[in-house]
Amino acid sequence: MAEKIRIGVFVCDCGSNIAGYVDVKELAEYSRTLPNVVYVKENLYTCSESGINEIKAAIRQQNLNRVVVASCTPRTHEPLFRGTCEEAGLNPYLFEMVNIRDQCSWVHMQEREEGTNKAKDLIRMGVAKAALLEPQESIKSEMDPNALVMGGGISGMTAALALANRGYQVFLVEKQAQLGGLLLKLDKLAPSGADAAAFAASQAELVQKHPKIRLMTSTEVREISGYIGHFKVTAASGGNRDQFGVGVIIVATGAQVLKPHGLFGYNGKRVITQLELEDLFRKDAFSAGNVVMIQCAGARIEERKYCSRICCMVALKNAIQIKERSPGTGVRILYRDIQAYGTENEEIYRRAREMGVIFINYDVSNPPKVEEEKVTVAHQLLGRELDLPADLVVLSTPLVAGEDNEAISKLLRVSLDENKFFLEGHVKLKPLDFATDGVYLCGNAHYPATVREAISQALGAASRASIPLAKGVMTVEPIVSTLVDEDACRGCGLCVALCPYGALEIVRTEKGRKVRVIPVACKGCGVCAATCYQHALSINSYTDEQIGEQISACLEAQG
Amino acid sequence: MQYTTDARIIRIMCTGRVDPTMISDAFLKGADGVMVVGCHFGDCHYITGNYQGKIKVGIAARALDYVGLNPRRVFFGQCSSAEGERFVKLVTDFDRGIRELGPLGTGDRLPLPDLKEKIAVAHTALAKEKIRWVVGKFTEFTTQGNKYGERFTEHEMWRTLDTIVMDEVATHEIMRELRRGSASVKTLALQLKLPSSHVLKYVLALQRRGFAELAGIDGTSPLYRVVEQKVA
Amino acid sequence: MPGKRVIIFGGDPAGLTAALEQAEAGNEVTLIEPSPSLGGGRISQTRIVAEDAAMEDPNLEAVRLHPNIRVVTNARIEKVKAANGSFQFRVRRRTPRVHPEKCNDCKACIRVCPIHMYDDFNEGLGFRTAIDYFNPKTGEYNIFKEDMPICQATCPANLDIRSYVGLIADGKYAESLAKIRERLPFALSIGRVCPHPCETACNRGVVDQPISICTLKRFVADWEMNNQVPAPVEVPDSFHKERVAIIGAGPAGLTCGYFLAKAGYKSVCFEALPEPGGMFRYGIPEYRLPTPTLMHEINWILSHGVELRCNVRIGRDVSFEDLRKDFDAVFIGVGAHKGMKLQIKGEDMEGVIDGVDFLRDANMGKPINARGKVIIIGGGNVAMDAARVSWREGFDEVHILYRRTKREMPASPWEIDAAEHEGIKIQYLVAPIEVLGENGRMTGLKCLRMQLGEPDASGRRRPVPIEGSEFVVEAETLIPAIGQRPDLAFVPEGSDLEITRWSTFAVDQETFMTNVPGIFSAGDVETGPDIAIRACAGGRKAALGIVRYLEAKRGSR
Repeated sequence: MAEKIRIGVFVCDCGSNIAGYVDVKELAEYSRTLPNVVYVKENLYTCSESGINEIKAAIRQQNLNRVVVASCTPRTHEPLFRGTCEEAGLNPYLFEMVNIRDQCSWVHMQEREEGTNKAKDLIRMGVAKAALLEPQESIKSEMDPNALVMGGGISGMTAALALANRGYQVFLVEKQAQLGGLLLKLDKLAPSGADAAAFAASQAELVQKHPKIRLMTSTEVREISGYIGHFKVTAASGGNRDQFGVGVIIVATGAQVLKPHGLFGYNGKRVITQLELEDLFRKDAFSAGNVVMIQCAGARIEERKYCSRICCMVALKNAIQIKERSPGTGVRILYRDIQAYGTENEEIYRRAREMGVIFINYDVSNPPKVEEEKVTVAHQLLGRELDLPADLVVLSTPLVAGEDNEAISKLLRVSLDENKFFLEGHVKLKPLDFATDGVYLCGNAHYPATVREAISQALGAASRASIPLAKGVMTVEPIVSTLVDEDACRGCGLCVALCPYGALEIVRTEKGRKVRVIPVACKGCGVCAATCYQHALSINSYTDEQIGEQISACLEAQG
Repeated sequence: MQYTTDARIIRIMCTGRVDPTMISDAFLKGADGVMVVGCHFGDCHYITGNYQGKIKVGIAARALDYVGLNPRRVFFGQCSSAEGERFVKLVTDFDRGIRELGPLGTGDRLPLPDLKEKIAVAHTALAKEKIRWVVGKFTEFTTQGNKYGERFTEHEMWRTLDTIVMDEVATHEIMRELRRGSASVKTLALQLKLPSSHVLKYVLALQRRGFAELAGIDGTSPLYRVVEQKVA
Repeated sequence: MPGKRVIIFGGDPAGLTAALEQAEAGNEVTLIEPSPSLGGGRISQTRIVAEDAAMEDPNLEAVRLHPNIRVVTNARIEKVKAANGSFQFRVRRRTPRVHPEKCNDCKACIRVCPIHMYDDFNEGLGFRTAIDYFNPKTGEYNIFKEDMPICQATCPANLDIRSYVGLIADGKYAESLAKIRERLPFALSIGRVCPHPCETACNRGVVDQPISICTLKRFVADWEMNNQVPAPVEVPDSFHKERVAIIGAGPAGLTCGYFLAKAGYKSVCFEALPEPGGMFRYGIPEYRLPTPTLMHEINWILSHGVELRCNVRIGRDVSFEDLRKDFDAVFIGVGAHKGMKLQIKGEDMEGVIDGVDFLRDANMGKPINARGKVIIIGGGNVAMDAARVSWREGFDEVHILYRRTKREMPASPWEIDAAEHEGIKIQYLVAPIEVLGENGRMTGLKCLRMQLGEPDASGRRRPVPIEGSEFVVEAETLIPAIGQRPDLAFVPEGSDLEITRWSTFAVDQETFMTNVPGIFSAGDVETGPDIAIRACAGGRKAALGIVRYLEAKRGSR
């Protein structure tokens, strides 16, 4: 025999925020007439100390087994009221919130009566759903206390060291034979002037010596299954495959440099990229009487709309390098816009000008032309063509997304942006996390970054990744998919293919192939439940019955 | 920011949660319009849930359109949680459209109560395996392709679904009639105002799929009845 | 005496009985049945009765158990060869797509299958689904996969019409064009000039009108050109070191170069005429395919890494042997540019100009002496083009003479209608017998009236002269347009290349390689005069053949 439903309804005045535009007294009176409602209370502020205490007292004294609060938005206040229920000994998922502020008082300020009627409907709908709510238990899952870092560039090494120094086992997988990534191709680092190779080597040494880091070079990640806390990773090196489990994953796979084939007569000899220029510096093979640098070579154009952001600084740095090595060499930088944000970069820009580097703006619709011994550019202010002598032309090319990004995004079930760089979970709220829990990103894999920015992001990502590791146990809201009718499930896998989180799998059971929900990975979007043709799946607190009951309550008057 | 007091909001986690039957259910219970609003494409909190939502709302709209509902009564809109103004505009525009149509049964191809009877059939069809299976495969077929590597355009998928809706609505109407008592193809055709050649095809298909069986013979006409489905 | 091997087609009751009799006689029997189950028509009819009452031929079980009978269901005979009293059969079996042991007959697949087709196991009386069972007793589920759609099968290039038309309907124009370009680089040109056999075949034509497949292709291609959408150039990052020579920058040659570039091979395209395009440029009149449009498309193709050298005639400027030495493979796509002779008296008189030459001169903008009356002989599209171009060039009267009737005319009906509409007079059942002239200059044409007799080898009724019906038409110009042949003058004497009696190259129909390894050919020079898209289709297949050839050569080194 099911226990009798006893619902308590709390209507919040929110000062005059709600009470000023909606007849709260009438709402309270109306609520008493609703089925299963045994207690109604109007509060000045339900979320205040006294309001909270009134809820707790009512739960105990009136034996309430469902609580409905008609107030503001669940986005801000649902956790508070759920907590209140729990403290009073009621399962927090037997709570339902009705939003009569955002949906009534705020948007119907001129229509008191109609707004009040609407609020009545909303409360009726909330009460109807509450009657069908069922208690849920939070889902807990142990964490594997270790991490996978993909990519051994500066971001990957930094993130790996940060996590390892906190005491977590780290698997660092690098595709190349050597650690260092793009750093290996650079000469000096701005603004410090430190030697890039030496810096890479010192970090690599720390990584190699660290007892908590298992380094796997010349290795690629082939398969990843599982979810936060329990990812199963298969890595392959040559013919050898290795399997291990990790709790979290950091993607630090970097980017690649665009080879500007067909752009400005690029030939790798007289027309080269900034990276190839730095290579000349390192070999001490640089010599030229006149250098012309062309910015945005292959960037901010129709096929590659974005700004690669770091190339301006690279050009400034290298222009100064040239001037320091051979003050007599003429350096001209043809640019569309110069990005030298912040105090340090602006200072470098100023210094370059002082040293005699000449900056000439060009228009994308009339780009410079590279010819024998000279570069022709239409000067924007003079309004005529300038012939610039050049025995070396250096193209500032953008970083482009890594060639493996699409494969990796499929492995991890994470998104890429339109330029195939990895896409963060949220621009502001989760800049270093993916939408998939337990997977983080940093460095050029996300977007072109300076070495300094890559390091900060790596430290940030490591810090984010260590949160679940430190907790040791994952607690997940139980508003997830459940297989309510195992007999109905035919194990067809339709839902598995559509789940954005990989939270469903097909398993063999005694009754044949059946779907299994992995609650820790599930976010409760409900796609599976809306898809299943056997209606075998449902979402806790958003079941077909509960939503159907809300629809019925909503349209009761119409019948 | 003010909008009509006639809108009632039901909270779901993601538009992907919208089951096509929820929409038909709302009309059966008397709604004059149903609006599903979620995130913009590419900006979905649940990654791809809104694409599924759009397909689910789309099939509900098409099935209901087929049985006589004005498709303007169903709307799939997108706006982010930061776009209050846009939300107000979406609701206001939709409300204006519904006001132009009037209450359910006016501005539709059928009046009440016939319309509701037809919607009930569409509701059954939307709950059944055939439409749901193809809807579930929509994304796979338009992006990765089927087992033969053939990729279908959305246009083709919708066209396929349109024919399935026609078949399913006819099939479930026949099933409804057969549940009321065994009948011959001729009487079914008269009751449902369908050509008897079509009814015959549907009845034969039902029989083959194990949903209907021969009940007896009335003169020269075979009579059919529903086979109650055993729980698997 | 050992038993003989017997093959029996058809597993209906008669086939079953015959199989049993033969097997009992000690023969080894193979029973071929096109449907998934033995039993013939009776099995499917039993569905109308309840399943439990489904009748089963007792012979079925006997056949199934007989050790001497091998049953092959889902199979058809493809080829029969008979020699010395024995037969050889090639049997094609449909792939079984449902695992019989895993299937538990739940019928769920049938319930959800979205594909409806007429139930051809039941005389088309009802519908069946794409996955279906045949015999209610034995189950035996299978998926019956149809071949490609009729339009795609009809198209010589097998364009994925279903997809690209659907993508246009979705508003995805760029994707649609990309789909076309998977098999054809000439969307702009083919979209204008193709006689679209696909539309003739289109099933929609049975309902009302066929889908306008050709115009839709033109629409997406025009959309890209007119909106300045950059046409994507997708080639590998690096090219292989082998190079291919292409003779003839026509539809076949350029298509071949395009697909070679996509596969990572650079090619050099030699063109004898001053501009590229072949028959697109010099055979098709400007009003059907404007030169700027054609050049827009050709320039895009060339940008993939096809080098063009015009005004280079192989055999005159460069020898064929040199090409073979300098390149790793040679593709010949020189087309069919030599007009066929009427074989009548006075044909070499001034005023007689061949249809192909005439169209080429007109397309090159050469001055044409367009005075008085012109007579065009022939009933194909070249004749229509020549007539309509003549009319535009300013002849006072344009006549087409054709020796059969309009029904037999091979030209596209819309071209004939357009010609008549423009004021061109077509005389049917007339054949020329002699060109009349003075001082070597034509003044008229002596003709003969014809009537239709028995059908000839081409299936059309043979025209038979009516005796004593000679008459003279006065005219200053005569344009015979009765067919073209390839001009193979560039092939060195004593070459090993196999040439058919139609002056075309004989090639392997899969690789398009001639009998000489490394030399490939497609287009009109391989098929004889045909439509442009067939030349494009051949160019593509030849490119794939060349890639395979070069890869094999590299592998063997």
